[in-house]
Amino acid sequence: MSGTHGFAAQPAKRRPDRAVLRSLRRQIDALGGCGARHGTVALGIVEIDRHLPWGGLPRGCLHEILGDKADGAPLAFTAHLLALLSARHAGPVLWLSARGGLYPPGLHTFGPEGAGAWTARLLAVRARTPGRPISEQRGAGHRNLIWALEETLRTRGPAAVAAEVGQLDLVAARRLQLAAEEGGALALVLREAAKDDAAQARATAVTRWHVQSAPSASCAWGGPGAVRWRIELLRCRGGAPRGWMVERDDETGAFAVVAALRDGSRHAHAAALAG
Amino acid sequence: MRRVLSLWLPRFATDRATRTRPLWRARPFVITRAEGGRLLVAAANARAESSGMTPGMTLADAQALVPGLLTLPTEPVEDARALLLLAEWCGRYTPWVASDGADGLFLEIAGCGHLFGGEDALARDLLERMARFGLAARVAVADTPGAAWALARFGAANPTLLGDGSYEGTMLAAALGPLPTSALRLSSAHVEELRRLGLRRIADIAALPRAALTTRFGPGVARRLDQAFGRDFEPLAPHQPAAPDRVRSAFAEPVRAREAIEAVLADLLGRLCARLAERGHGARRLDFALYRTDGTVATASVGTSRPSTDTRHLARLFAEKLDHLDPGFGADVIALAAPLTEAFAAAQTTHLAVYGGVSSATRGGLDVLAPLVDRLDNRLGAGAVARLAPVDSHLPERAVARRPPFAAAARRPAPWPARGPRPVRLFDPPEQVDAVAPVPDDPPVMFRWRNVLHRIARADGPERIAPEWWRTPAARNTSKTAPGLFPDSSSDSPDDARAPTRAAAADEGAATRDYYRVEDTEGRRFWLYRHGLYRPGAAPAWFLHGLFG
Repeated sequence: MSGTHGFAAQPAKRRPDRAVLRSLRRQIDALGGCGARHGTVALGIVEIDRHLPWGGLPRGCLHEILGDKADGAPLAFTAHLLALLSARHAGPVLWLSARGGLYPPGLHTFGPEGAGAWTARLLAVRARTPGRPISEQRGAGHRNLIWALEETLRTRGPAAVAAEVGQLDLVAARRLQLAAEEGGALALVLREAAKDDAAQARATAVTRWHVQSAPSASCAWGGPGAVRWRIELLRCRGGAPRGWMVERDDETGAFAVVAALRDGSRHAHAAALAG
Repeated sequence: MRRVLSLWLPRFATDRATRTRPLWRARPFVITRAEGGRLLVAAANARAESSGMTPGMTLADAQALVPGLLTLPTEPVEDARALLLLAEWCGRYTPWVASDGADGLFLEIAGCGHLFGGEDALARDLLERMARFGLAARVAVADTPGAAWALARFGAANPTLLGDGSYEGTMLAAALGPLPTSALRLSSAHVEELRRLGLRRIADIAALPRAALTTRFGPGVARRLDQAFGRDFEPLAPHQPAAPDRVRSAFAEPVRAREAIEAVLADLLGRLCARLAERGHGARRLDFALYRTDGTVATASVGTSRPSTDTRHLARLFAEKLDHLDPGFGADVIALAAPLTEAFAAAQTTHLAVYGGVSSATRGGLDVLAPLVDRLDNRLGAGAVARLAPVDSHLPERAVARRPPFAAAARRPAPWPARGPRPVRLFDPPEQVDAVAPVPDDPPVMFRWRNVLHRIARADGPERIAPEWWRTPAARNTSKTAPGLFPDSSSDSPDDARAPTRAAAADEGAATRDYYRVEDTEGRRFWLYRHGLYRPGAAPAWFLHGLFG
């Protein structure tokens, strides 16, 4: 049987039809069980929303947010997501942690203007073994936290569930993903970056983020400027990893991607243009 | 043999009111009730009665008699409840206490007199204690309730004791004869009719033939007469104590297997919840006890955040506790008790909505989570799930309090007071750091926290937060953690090898704090404060209180 020799003429490349792609994506989502069933939450940052295959974070799925323990940025990022979500979905928001420390007067400033009322629907769950101090919480306390998280995710009712866990092994992550699919809430798990994250070929979270604070541009008197974060999408099911530097507008509370200028500030750029 | 004590509280309504207002005892004071658009005097205290007030006159007339009269509206429900409490208290004399109208009690004291040194001593003891309560009282003891009633209200002496249980007719006739006819608990219409016929005393009626009385006045008068003289038995219905909410099952063979215990639990739950539901109550706390063959008891308890009679939900709560319940060689008796129950509020069916699907979840209320909250509370300890509510306090650690998730205030959330910029995470207690700062008021230029050095690039501040001078030092120190923000945290350090030192100031709450919002060279923002004002020669203590986003 003779085949083509060498480089036969390639068939003319056809641009993929966008509508076909979208419908295929929807079908895959329906099979894969996230996004289509429970809706999505747009992050409010245009570039990130455009990059994500669902146009936002899908509910009913597990999302991991990695960060450093000494950094408040992952917490604030989670608060921003919860504020956006609670503006559109009724339902209480649960936050599980072993050692607490959540401070609503600071949390409610994150999120779009006027969405601060989500802290009224917030229930803080202190998940640890009762009667034992924090230093002995390692084994049983962690198990209690994972158990509480699974129970909460499985319940239909909460709009979102956020949890601060130390480490998450593969089996637990898989169970939590199944529980989230059953309950339909937006599941956000905050944890520290583990050493074998990059090596984990079969990770189960639908998206994995890494949020850390970035130096802000000084304001006029030398104080800290607008909040600035480096958000990296490490892993996304159906999308490519990417990083952004975002800055918060103090008046509206919305985030925007900053242009990568020498000092990284769009305000300085605008000022330079003006004057 | 029967001995009945009648306790009459002639001014119960006013006495109850003056118990909480002792200064009104010496002044004329009446209780008013509204009738047909006018205010009438329902009851008057002793001072008012001596000034000429009588129940039934209008308030306007009464105020004309005594200007500056003190008045209170009538509270029949509260009076009835107080009388019920008094009846329960009288259980110290006898278990057989019945109420008698709105201002009296009947006590069956046959056989109880000797415990108090005789009936006379019992009656005097009762009078003395009533006087201590501030209640004017009259007591009479007789063989029948009718006679005791009459003597308490119309007898001369206080206390009056008559007879010895033998229903001696002549003694009763001699004692009751001189009393007016109203002492027989007749209606005022009958009394008036009798008076018009010239019959004013009981002796007059007792002499009449029975048939004539019955035809003229109906059976009521004759019956009262018979009851007073003991010819007709008048029963007294005592107050029953509420049956405890407890069900138990006993077994011929000891029960050991887990499945058997679960089945018994389901059966007991069904019986107990049915009994509670009849009363309109739900269980808030359940105690499950296995009485083992070796004489010991194994117990497990669960609590719920809302009253519940849902057996499936309660069985699920018990499921985790049954793992730790050791039946030993078997249980002979298994009991389930509900020590704490609560009446159902109007909107209770919402907790079942969680099994109903997504439509109920969109309601947005916290009620759909009641079963989940119960499970979390039972495994993680009571109070594990809490709503974070604002507390009006300048001190940041006291500005947030943990409240029960389903409290009524959850429906009207209060806004967070806008003070300065606040961090997203607060450390409780604040962690001490080593900071280098130019004196006296400048923000630090670098600080070391958890063995990591942070160089500060930008800083904002200071925000001065002064201690709450209106709280005593003892109160400041003991409750320096927010009342509720994990008050039982044992303040242990995080999992680091070398724990930072605790905030070890002598009087932590009393020093002024200057807060600085600082940003280090990597962009992380911290909330530091200097504890106390700068003093030359003393190194100031710096603490890290929170992280900004």
